[in-house]
Amino acid sequence: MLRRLTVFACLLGLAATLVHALGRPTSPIVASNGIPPAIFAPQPLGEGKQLCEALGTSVDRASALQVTVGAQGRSPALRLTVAGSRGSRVVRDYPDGVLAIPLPPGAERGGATACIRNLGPGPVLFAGASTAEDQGASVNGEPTGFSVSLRLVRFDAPDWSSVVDRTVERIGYGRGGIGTGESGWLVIALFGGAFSTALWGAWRWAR
Amino acid sequence: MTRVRTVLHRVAAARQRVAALPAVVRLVFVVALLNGAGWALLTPPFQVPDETAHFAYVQSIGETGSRPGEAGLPEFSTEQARVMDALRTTAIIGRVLEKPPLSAAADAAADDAIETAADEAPRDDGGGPSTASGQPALYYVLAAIPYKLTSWASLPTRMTAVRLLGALWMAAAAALVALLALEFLPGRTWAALVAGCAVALNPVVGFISAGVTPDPLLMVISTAVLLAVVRAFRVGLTTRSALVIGGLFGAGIVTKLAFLAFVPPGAVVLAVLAWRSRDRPQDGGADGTLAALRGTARAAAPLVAGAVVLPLLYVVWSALQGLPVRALGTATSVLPVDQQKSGNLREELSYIWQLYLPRVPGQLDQFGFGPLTETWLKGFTGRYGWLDYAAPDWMIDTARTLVRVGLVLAVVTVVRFRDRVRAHGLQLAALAAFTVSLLVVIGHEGYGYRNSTGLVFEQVRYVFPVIGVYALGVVAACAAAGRRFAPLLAAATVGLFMVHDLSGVLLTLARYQG
Repeated sequence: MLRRLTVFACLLGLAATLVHALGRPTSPIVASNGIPPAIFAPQPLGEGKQLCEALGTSVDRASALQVTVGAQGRSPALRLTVAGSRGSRVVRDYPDGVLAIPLPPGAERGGATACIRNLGPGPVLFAGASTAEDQGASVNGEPTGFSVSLRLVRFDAPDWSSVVDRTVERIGYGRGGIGTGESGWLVIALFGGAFSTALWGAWRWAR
Repeated sequence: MTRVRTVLHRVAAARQRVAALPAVVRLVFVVALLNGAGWALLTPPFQVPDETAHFAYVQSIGETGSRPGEAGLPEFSTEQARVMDALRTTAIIGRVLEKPPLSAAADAAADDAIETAADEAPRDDGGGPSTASGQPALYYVLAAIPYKLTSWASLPTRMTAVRLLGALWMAAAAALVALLALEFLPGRTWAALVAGCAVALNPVVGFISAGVTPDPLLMVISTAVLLAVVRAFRVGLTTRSALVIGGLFGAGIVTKLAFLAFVPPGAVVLAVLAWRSRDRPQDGGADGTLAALRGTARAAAPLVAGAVVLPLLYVVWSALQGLPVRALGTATSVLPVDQQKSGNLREELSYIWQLYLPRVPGQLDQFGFGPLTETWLKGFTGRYGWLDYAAPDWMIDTARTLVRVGLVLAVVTVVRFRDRVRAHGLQLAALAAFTVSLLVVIGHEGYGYRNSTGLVFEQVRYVFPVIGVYALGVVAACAAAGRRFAPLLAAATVGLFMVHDLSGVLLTLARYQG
């Protein structure tokens, strides 16, 4: 009886772990420009000036652009535009730290460059990392030698249970021809085989 | 014809030896092999620590028959560089938000680039210094076999073939650990099961073993050394076992330099074994002592002979290639000379102490963080990739509680069964000597690395050579439940290992495929 209970508890543990994981939301971050928010830029973005930075990716699936800002509590209004799209979005009254600016309508049809104009009052600092002189963000068209950390996030991140098929399919990606849609199922079979063999051993020798 | 017969005879003999292994050991082997193969396919190419450099080493041997490390040559072949570009390897490493190709279109583009590279790009134009090139070559020579067998295929296919060899090493290590448990508790299959599964279902062991890296081979050889020594204390040192132990030492030395940590305690332990196994002289006195020493030397001779063969071959091979025994490697971002610290013995001892034990009053903080939690507990609970993603904090807290409970239970076992523990005193002392020596060497290397680079050196994979000792600790914790309930506690612990492994799999999926 105790042996049965123990093995059942093992199974229950595995099932609970899976259910817990599948019920959790996937990451809200769908892409980034690969720049960590390591330090603030040496120069703040002054009132009326515009900062532009390449996203390095399309804005497909994203709801907002996430940046890390510091304005000593003044929270100047910031207007976000995405090159190639017509609309813009303005944010005001935000705390210092991580800020998600909603993407303007039609942004998904736009290019891969985001521009933020400081509408004031006062300057604002953006976090990112130093880079080569001719790379990174530009302010009013002038290179800054500093890249701003940009992350594309979505507000409606699905939970893991709704993306199982897509996730399993991706396991085979980037394998130079051997990876197929079935690779993920093979991985599941291998781990399933390991666990069921171990469980069988526990059942047989737990006495 | 005679040769074929001999080969068939040998195969049959090997099958008999495998069949003679306890069923639980074979089961542990299968569990580890399946788990290791799962990890090998799950982890994207080049995402295991230093896998870029290790693969370049394997490719260098596979394509040119020569070790890398020649100054002036690039670290990677053109093919590897192109594949790493196609997979965005350098953009992904260390950046948790960066993923491998996530769409079918991006995958198709990457596959095209990879297959074009396999067809057109040179594979033999790497061979320069890397973080791996200073290491000896046994693992890489063995890994070059599956590499060559799949030379018709794209680079990720060749890498997968090499990774599956790592799964085999992991399975061998888990089976050896199960046998080690049976040395201390013969006939207790639950002990072998839980000890073996402590390795076979450990996600960090699986993740590392699934990569192109010499760590799993080192783990096998080191575990085999521990098992052979423990067994030799029980049955005595025969010429054959001495040759095997010596051979294992030789193999360890030419696998990874970290194995050198096993040499000083090994010399002492093997001297004791040789002394115990000497031909005993009939009379005492000075002549008797001399005869005893001669007998010890005779017993030790096969040990030494076994130990020197592979290192000697390695030295000759290096000389024939015109490479030094230790080829040129690359260091990790060394600090400017004026910022490097020279260090001193007292500080180094303090560093080593704090690496494994709580800081005592009077010691200056050497780390600025708690290595017990940050390095060992977090590392063992789950730190993956190029150390860029890890188990969440609540898992670390749970693991801390479990470790504490396990330690208390193990102490209860030691006290409760102290007579039996005493009976295994020499074997346990030998295991302790190997463990302490390895820990001290890791601390010594870490101290030097910290002083010259300002970075943290220690990683949990460096203690894999003594993973058998950890597994014995798990057995000891289960044994505290007594004869009736120990098997049940062992079964529940296997369940815990499965949940742990699954958590690592899910974290890895979220990191790379989410």
